[in-house]
Amino acid sequence: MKTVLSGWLFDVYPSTNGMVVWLIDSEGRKHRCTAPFVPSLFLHLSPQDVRRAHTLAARCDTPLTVTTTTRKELYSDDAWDVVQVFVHNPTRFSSVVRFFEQFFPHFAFFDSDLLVPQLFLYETNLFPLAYGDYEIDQHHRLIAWTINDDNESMEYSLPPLSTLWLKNGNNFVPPKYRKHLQLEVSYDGRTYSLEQENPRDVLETLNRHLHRCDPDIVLTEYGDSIILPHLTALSARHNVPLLLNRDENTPYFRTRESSFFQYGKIVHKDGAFELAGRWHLDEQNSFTFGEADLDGVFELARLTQIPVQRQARVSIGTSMSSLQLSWAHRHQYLIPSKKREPEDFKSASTLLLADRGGLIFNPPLGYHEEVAELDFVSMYPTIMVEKNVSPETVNCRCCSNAAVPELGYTICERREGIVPATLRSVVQKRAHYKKLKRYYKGKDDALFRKYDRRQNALKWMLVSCFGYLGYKNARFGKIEAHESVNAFSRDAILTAKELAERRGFRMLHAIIDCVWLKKPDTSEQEYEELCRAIADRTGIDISLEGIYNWILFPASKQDPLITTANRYAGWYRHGDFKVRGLETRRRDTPPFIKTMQKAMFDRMAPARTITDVEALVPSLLDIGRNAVAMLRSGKVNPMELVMRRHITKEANEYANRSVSAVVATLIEEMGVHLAAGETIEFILIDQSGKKKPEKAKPLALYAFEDGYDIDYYTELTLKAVESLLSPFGYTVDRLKALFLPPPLKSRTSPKSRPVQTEPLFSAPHQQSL
Amino acid sequence: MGRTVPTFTNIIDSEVAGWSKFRRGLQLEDQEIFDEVFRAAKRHLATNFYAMRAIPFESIIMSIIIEQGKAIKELRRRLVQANALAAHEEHA
Amino acid sequence: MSPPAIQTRQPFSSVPAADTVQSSENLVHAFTNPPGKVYLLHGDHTVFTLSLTMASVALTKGTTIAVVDGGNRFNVHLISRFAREHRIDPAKLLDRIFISRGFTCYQMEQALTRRLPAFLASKGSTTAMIFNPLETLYDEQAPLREVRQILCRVLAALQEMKQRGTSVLIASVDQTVWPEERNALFQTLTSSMDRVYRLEQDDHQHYSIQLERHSSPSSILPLKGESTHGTHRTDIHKYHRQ
Repeated sequence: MKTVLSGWLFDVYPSTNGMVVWLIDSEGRKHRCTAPFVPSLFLHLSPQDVRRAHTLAARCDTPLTVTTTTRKELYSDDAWDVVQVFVHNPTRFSSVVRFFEQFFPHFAFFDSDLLVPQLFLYETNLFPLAYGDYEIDQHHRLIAWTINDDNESMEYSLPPLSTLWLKNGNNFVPPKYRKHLQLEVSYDGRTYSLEQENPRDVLETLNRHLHRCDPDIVLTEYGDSIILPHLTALSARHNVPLLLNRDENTPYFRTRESSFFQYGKIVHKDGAFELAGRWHLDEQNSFTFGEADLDGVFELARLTQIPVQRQARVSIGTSMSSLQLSWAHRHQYLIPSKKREPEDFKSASTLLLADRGGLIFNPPLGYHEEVAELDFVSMYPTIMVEKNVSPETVNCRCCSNAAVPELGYTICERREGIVPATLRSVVQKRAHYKKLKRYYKGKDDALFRKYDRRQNALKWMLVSCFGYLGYKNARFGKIEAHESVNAFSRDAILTAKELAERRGFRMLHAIIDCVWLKKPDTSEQEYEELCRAIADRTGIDISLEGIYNWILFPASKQDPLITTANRYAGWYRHGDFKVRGLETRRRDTPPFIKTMQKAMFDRMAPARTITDVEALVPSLLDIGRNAVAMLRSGKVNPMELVMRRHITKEANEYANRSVSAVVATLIEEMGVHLAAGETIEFILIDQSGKKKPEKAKPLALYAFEDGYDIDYYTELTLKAVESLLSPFGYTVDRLKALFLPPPLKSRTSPKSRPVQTEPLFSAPHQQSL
Repeated sequence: MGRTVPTFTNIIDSEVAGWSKFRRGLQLEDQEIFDEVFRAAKRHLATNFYAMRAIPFESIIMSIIIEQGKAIKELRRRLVQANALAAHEEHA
Repeated sequence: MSPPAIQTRQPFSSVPAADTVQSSENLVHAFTNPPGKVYLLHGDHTVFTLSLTMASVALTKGTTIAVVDGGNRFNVHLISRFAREHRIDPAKLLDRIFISRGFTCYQMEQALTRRLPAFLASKGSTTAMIFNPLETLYDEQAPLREVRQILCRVLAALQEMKQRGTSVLIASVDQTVWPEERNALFQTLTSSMDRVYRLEQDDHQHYSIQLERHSSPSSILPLKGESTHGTHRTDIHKYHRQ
């Protein structure tokens, strides 16, 4: 007797004889079923080793079936004879891989480091939240299904989902720094405090809530790093089983925290704590959730076929990778366990030209009018899709053309690469969601937000795919593909510049995929015509971001006579404000200074021309003066002065007494261990250390009597004012003379130099004022 | 993934560092001109970067020549303007 | 034949002084006549400057060189500066030295065991350099057991190349790494070399090259309990346009 259930795929994880699949029907009822599944890996071996593999398989304590078959290799597109090892107990998959790794080298293994849930989904073409008709027999076995859904569709329905929030009651200080947890549980519009004295009572109360609510989603802050590990430890110690898992017969899925070196920085990742039959999502440990909320997580999980809990935690590169792995699996290509294709030998002359990124033009210093910004739409992914740039298509053996500008690399004309094949739908989806978002803006807030979140989640995936193409852990990746994309990008910017110049525009600034053009008395239509011309020639869409009333390119902090790229601020005619690289935008700036600079920018909003801006200077100086006065009065709320930094080492590894070292040590002494790459928050008390040797206090230890280093924060504030007003002659020194009482202005910082009044080569900013 | 070829800003800084002995021997006012001259190269970062010549100093020199050319052009223009004004006032 | 100790008036990192170039020429001569040897040069990061100077000297004599770079140490401008100093068109040198960069130990293995011999054969070259081959092996994300096997396979490949008449110069910067066990990889490397040179710096910032080891390498024994023979080694890129 079988039933057919209309509903959504909710959760999937391995069990000893197949996969456990949870479904939610349209009424919100949950169904736990099992699906038969035998995951397999491939080994590419010499004939003697094939025999050896059979013998070894018999010796393995997990039941295995070994056959031979053929699969394709991506780069050559050739069919290879491979050994296929079926692992009958999915929970033992990775230990079987480790077993064989004792006998065969890494380059023999294929499809061996994929997670079993993903293998299952790639194999069955199912995906998280797939809506369809699911056939279940009387033993709760999932025997067939019809999916009335497509993971590439832009319109889809979601199941009714119940949520329970589990938080630390006091949000002021992160739980890592608190000795005792004070939990709060919220659902169905009510909040309950778990204030029991006895841990046993706390656990039992939590169980009662879990039972009553039976949530599909448990949403926490710091659940992965603190709350759930703490609760499960308490549960073990006091022998009170927790009802966190819906599936009581399955353990939790946990991974450890780690710190590792990536792109020149130490990065820290929290461990993960995933549940069975329920989703635990930790707001603090989910990049996607932070950027795009649940809408974004669901959008990605469906597209990438990564189960929701895992999808919430993975880095954006992993999402992109999953699309490729799924494609490869579908097309019967072998998935290498490690990326091992090195760079092809290239001459030093070629290296010089190839090893570069996109073009960056330095902007002219100061304030400018009649400037418009044009942005290429998803430039790098579009290049990959339109020009067929992929690891196996660049410098293929079958074609010969000099398709890549500057470098002369060949791009395959015979087959479409894995990268364009998988990226195409992502680019299209994102463009579609952006259109919908623009349509609903101001008309329907909920829909606007939904489409905005979806396109944002996809945006991050697209951002990763460029770095991903060359990133060392990318399964399919080749430096030459990365170099080709950069070469196309440089060519596109220069083509845009040339087309613009031919129409009387001047290019003031360009960064990789954005250009800033200037031409007096130019309408939006004219800009849009230019965009069409550029898109036609380059094959990449480019759109007008907006025309600025005015835009500021501030001076470099190192040298007041030049600018640096990616630092600007301005108000568009259509009413929006854009800022990059300045204090308002930087993550390490204290809130007090951010607020002040933002107030200055807000004051400048009505200015239509540079003359208008100049007229506002006295008013802007007032904002700065008041901020400095507040600081010097000692009355600023120290919480507004919190500085944030990443530590590069652990407390005991610092050799000096820098502020980071001091703060990290103090935190260590509190009993809190911080790994390299984690963030510290502190308030600077005395930068020199002369009056107060501890220099700074971490947020958790700070008391209001500690005060703050007035001079240091004043200097920071003045620098933030200088960023905006230096084109009018207001340097930090001049501001000090204006704002501060005489005795304090004498100390000139050695770094500031008097601004040259007569630069040798006429600096453009002198002309535009 | 690490870059092997340094950014052009680094290349300019590296060249400047290589000239530090030369700069040290200059008079103070000449040192200011020295700094300004290399700053001209920093205003042409993208040009230098795109060309990526084997000897970076060659393209740095080109940038400086272009900036000097601009300054000369501007001076010539102002001179012509000033002369025209003086001539006009004479005849008035 | 041991090379002369080099005294220089300034550190190698700036434009090489004339006597450095002379010493480089001596070294290059020793290194390539007769070809068929594997040398290691280790010390601080100046080993790369010296290696590139040696390469520049060899390039001016018309040699074609292949470099496998395991630590992003290749410096194009050093070669072009050398060309400029010697009034040679830089392109003539830059067109004859070839680089393949490896960012993981798996890429390094593939580059050294498969790609390098094939490339040298295709160019008719007998001169190769390897920069920092151990660096990618120190990556914690690659298990130690696997890394040891990779090193053994790589060293075996170098011996094969040596038999076929290739000269390989390995430049390695001294480092102490964590975890502790990985530091032993350096010993494995040195035990396989024909010669080991150490670049030393004295108190007056003078560099000298000291010959540390000069013996025929012992045969490479697999570490106890580990299987090191490769199985069906297929070059997945043999069809790749090179």
